[in-house]
Amino acid sequence: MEQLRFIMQYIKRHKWQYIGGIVTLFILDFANLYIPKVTGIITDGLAAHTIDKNGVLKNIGIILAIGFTLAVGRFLWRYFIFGASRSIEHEIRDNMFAHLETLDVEYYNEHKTGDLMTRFTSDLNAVRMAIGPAVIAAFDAIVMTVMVIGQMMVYVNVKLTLVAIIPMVFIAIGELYFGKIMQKYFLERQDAVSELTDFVQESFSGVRVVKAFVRERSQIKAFAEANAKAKTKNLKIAKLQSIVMPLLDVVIGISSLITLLYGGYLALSGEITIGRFVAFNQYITMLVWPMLACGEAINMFSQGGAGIRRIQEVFEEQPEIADRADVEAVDRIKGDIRLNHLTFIHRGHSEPTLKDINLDIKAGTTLAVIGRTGNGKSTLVNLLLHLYNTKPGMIFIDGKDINSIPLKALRENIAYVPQDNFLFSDTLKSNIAFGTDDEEMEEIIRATKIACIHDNIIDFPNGYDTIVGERGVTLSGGQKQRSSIARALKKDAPILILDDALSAVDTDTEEQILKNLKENRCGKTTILIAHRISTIQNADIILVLEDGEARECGNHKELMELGGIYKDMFEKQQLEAAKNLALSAT
Amino acid sequence: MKRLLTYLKPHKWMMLLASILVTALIGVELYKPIIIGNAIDDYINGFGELGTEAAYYGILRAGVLYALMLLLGFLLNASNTWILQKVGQSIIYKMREEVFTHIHSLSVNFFNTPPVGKLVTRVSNDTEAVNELFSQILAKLFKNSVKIIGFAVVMLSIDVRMALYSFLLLPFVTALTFFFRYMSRKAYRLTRNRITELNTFLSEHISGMKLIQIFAREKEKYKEFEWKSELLFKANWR
Repeated sequence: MEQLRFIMQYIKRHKWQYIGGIVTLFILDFANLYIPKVTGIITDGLAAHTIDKNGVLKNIGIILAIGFTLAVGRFLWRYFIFGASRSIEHEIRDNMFAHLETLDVEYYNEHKTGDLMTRFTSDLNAVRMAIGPAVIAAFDAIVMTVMVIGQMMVYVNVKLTLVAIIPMVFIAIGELYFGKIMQKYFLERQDAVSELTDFVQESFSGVRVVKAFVRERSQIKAFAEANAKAKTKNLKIAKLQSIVMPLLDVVIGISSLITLLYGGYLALSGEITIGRFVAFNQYITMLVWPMLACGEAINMFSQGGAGIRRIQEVFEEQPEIADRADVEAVDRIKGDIRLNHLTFIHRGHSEPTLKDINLDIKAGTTLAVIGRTGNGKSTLVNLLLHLYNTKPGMIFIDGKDINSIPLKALRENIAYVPQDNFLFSDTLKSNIAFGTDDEEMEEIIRATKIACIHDNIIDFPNGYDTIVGERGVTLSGGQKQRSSIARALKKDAPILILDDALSAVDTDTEEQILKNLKENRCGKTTILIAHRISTIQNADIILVLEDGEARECGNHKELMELGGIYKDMFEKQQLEAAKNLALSAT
Repeated sequence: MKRLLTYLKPHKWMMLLASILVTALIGVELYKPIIIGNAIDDYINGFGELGTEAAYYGILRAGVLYALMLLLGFLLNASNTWILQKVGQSIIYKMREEVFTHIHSLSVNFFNTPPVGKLVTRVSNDTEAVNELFSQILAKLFKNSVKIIGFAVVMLSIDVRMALYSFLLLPFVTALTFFFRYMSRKAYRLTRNRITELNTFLSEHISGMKLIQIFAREKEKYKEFEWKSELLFKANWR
């Protein structure tokens, strides 16, 4: 029922198209009944010699006219109802994408891309079938059934009609019963197919890893499992279908049987004429098609219902991150950041990822955050980007609580270089201009020069128009990382965050980029997250995170004097570097 | 088409069995109305000579025969559907496996050119279309061609000249069918391309949603999606 309410809000918007289509359908069914009547007139006329050549031609003309009406009508109802269903599909698709855009990172952690994809593909398709072809089939079937049964009752015999259509009632009951089971099976199948799609998606995206670790065999084995599951679910449906569909024929056959036995009895006892008995048999066969159409429609409805359910699931998901009612318009952010007893617990975790962090940085400061993986560095950045919600009074930007700053304004004022360097399959130019409204070449080149990628790009045959593969695969890791840095720099935002964004860059280039950044980011806030101390030792403030706590804080010199975790890390990394140097020397 | 046959080959006995079942099924379907027709002619029309009781007894006998045919038809139909579905499913299983294995056996460079979304479509959706071809279209094709031959035979047996006159229409119908098929195939291909484009866009942008949000590009990306969605919508109209 809930599914019906959901889809009705779309259907209502196209109600005239539906009404137009259904009215055309009525007209068509009447026209259809008219053709046998005209042939009847010709036959009778010819038999009785009451019709001449002109009369025959006139009636043939009528048949042709009806045929033409039928053709136009068939086009019209297709135009109306298929058109409406396509429009609704289009609207749901757009709305669903728009809704997905509002959902937060947490949602995407829990829902795989492939699973979301099937809601746009097979589920949406099932919905379209239910509101297009199924509506036509159902109405057509109902109109035909009512007209035929009407004829049977008026023209032949009410009692015989009632007895003969008893099996038809079983069709309705059977459809309700099997329809429910079918819906369950279809859901299971859709799940299995979406699991399969997911697996393939992941396997292909991660093909490098698969190959590097020679995991093809185990991938193929795992695929075989997912594949077999999809097959089993499909066969489960097939088994039911191969019984139910022929059963429908049997039920209809029973109607014919009743007609033969009871109708034959009535004919023998003279209650109905033989001619009417023959006609009745024809009427019964005329009911076959509408009943089949009904079955098909029910099938499409149940699949559509399952599809709507899964689409609804997406819409029911409320965005956790949204502008509060009391946000104040902010134009340009200066870049002061203050953390006040910042504590954060991830959804579903009991231990806080960040514990009681206090920090005050003025605009123009370069802050470095260092610590082992899993110590909350990225979480800290994600909180600054408001990808997760924090309690009020914990993060202040320019003295304003982060929750009171509109999301768009906040994120437009922060430039971010992610760890995974995701690039879109588009030109390098568009990728670098991604965060801004214009594709001003001058600005782009300024950014790429700072990120030390300009020379690489102009070396490509297509330069800035080089298309990057789906996940930026034509570029090396370092090139991707530097493109991703250029993308952030193009924004020229008051706050820049590099989340471990120099890991794939060699030390010389790293030094050059850091030098460029220092010149370029003068007066603007920069946050560096890194593992290598060499990356961050020139930062104004270095924050050492361990177990989500701010253990040490100060500049390089101060922390070295402190002789704690930082000094320990520094010495270990020095030793490592010396070892590597010695190794490469030998 | 040749490839399809190689997939069918291991199932040739099953397909043969299905063909026999379909032929038998059509026989039963054609016989059912004859039973009723005969009952009308012999007993209802001719009860004057037989007497009511004997006539009704004849009707009952025809009824029993009809019921038997119903049961037989049910068994034939059910087993035939089941066999075709099973073969179809085995084939897509095999096809998916082969496509997946084959793609994995290709060098990494291959993954640089076609987007993953396209490859995924090949493995999941396109194989599903092949399944449809097997279990629905081929089955219908076979059933209908047997039916056409049946109709032709019946028509010829009624009146050879009239039947031949109506057959004159056939070349036109065939030509029209081929014309529409050509047109619809062109439109279909365009639609499929648009679907693939949209799916590729979707899979990439759902994976990159975090980045879109961080760069506050929701509006722009929505517009891009809307445009692609509109293109698909228009392609569907053709």
